[in-house]
Amino acid sequence: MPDDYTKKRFLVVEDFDDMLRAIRQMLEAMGAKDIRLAANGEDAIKEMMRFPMDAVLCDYNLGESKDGQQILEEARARRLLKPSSVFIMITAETSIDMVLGAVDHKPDDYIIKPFNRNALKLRLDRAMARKAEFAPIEEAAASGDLRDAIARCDERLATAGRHGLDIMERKGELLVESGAHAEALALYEEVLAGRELRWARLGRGVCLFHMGDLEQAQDIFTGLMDANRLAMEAYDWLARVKQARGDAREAQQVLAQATALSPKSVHRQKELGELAYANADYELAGKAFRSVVRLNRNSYFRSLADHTRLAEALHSGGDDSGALSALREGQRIHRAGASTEEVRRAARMEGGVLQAMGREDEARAVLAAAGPAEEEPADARRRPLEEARRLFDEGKADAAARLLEDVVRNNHEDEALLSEVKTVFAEAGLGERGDAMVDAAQDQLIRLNNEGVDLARAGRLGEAIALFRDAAEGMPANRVVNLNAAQVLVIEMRDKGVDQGLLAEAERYLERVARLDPDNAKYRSVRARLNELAAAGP
Amino acid sequence: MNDQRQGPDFETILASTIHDMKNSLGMLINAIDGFTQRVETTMPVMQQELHPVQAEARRLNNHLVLLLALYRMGRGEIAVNPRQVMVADFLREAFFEFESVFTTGGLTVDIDCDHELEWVFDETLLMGVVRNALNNVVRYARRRVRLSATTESKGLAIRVEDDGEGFPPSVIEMAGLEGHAMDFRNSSTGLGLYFASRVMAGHEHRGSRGAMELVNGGELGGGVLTLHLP
Repeated sequence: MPDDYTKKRFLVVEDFDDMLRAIRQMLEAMGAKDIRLAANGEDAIKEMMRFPMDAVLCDYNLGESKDGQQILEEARARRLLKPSSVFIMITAETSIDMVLGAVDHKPDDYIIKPFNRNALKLRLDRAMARKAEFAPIEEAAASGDLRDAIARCDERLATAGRHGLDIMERKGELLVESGAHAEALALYEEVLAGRELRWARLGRGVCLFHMGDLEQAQDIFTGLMDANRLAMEAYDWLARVKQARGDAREAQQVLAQATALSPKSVHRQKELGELAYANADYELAGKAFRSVVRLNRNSYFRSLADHTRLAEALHSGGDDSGALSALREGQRIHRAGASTEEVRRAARMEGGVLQAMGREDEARAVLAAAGPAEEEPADARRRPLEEARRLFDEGKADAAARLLEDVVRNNHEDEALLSEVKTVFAEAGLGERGDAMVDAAQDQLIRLNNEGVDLARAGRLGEAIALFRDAAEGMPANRVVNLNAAQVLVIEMRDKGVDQGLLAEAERYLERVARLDPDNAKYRSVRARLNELAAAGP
Repeated sequence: MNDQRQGPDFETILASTIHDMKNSLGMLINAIDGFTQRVETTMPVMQQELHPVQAEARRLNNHLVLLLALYRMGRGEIAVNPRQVMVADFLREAFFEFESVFTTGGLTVDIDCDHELEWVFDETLLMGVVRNALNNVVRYARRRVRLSATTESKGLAIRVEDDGEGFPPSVIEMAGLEGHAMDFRNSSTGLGLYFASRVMAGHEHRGSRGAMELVNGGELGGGVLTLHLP
């Protein structure tokens, strides 16, 4: 049953005029009436904001503008794509690995240039049919109910003959996302017993990493890199393995290699910057953070925090005037829209830089306006680990364990930190106790969180709010819990109207997350929805 | 660390030039196809004259694509990445790519494949192999072409057949050699065969590898290329 193209709205994003015209003609020949065109990422986003598209055909390489991957990520984060919308990446075969190797957001399909009308129609029909087939799974996943999404995968697997492996692949991702690593591992091993598939091999490595088998995980990721120099996901995971094993230098090298091959990934540049900074390689850190600022220049994801981080790296590397101009540029760009916490952090950084330059009076003024200093979030999260090591050394194992349990409860989704907690236990000769504690606490939080999500989904919003409110009070530094607390309040207000008290409460939860992790993608999307509500008023 | 001041090496310049030529040819092919469609009703005679233009542009493009692919294979930038594929869609897509050339060449194409048949292979690389085969088919077929896929004991068999004179013995022998080297002196098919053998051998499953087989005869009495996928 071919889709009726006359009733669908299309967007074509392509920087070459001839190509743009050619694709439009192909769509017209298929019967499409409503075709919108954009020559760059900015226009593409504007079009998607004006109208929801049924299908987006987007060139991956758009010259100086943001690339197709960035457009896709932004559109998904801002919910500009309907669950039924298909997004097809147009690519040269030289970029195909970049498209298929995208970490979080894969397009629904891709098509290699050159192509003709019939080939395009085949891909479009196929993507639309597939989208319809996956719709029940994705709806559940989008609502945050991962267990339901997994159950729907099982239903499809039990009944449908088609796309069996694709559904397995999605189920594996959902299992990993929900923290069911052992189950995911079993799935990947089952697939691999039948066939050697890259996604299954990678998934197996990811599970082993999460389950603490770093050596085997490392072998898998290096194996994937040996087979394909452009297997970018393998680099990212190998860097995480190295880091978890305490080889921060090697982790940095791996990411430096990866960014040289694929320099446009913001998340990778950011991770590289952080690693280099931690390794006191301020030159590289500065370079990486400068790339983050540059890549994010026209992006929805840009943030004053990026400029602050760049300034910090430059300052640490002795380039105070560079740091100052990075901050000033950031403050100019983000005159509106940055969170209070981001503004204060930038100002504190500015004060510190001015001090180092001997401009005491200016520094004092800036610092006074910024308010008292707080600890860097990353340091704050790791400080208790040092404390626990000290307590173990002093023989106060129970106190250390209590402290570490607190770390776990507040950071149950931060696998790198959790594996460090396990390491601290292991160093004290209590490896098994540590593993058991971490796993149990993590399980408990995942269950609690799922329970809240279930309640919200079942329409029992009042109970969900109460649950997350309690949880957020008990675990003020847990990002997932605070995000969900804010999110259920947003849902409540969207249904029942804006309430100033709830608005302030949601704001409080979000500020916590912003302090801990200002770059969190989910934070940004909840923040955007809360801002919309606040702007709409009661 | 790379020394940035040295600038790109000759190999890189060559590759990016090939890439650029390939894109130009892509535009040219689209333009020719569009032109062919327009004369279909107005000047049917012109269509036949356009056939070699179309076919040769595609051949050139295909060779550039293969060169680039081999360059990237050599650099470890292409690896076989199998995924689940609807085989009938795969064949239809290959057909669509050449549809316009089939039309101008007066060739009738049959596609024979169970609509529900699924297999696991690297769609992009296999398409490169089939594309190369079709470039030869449009040159040598007289009236008919057949694209088919069936399952057999060894796995999946994808066949590209025509009613032409068949492959010359030298080509059949060369294709039969395990891991044969490229033979530039012999014929222009060397590049395609080399690429195909690399791609097929890269498909491995439970100890058996993909393989390519050239014979003459088949359903249409001409050349038959069979791609065996485990």
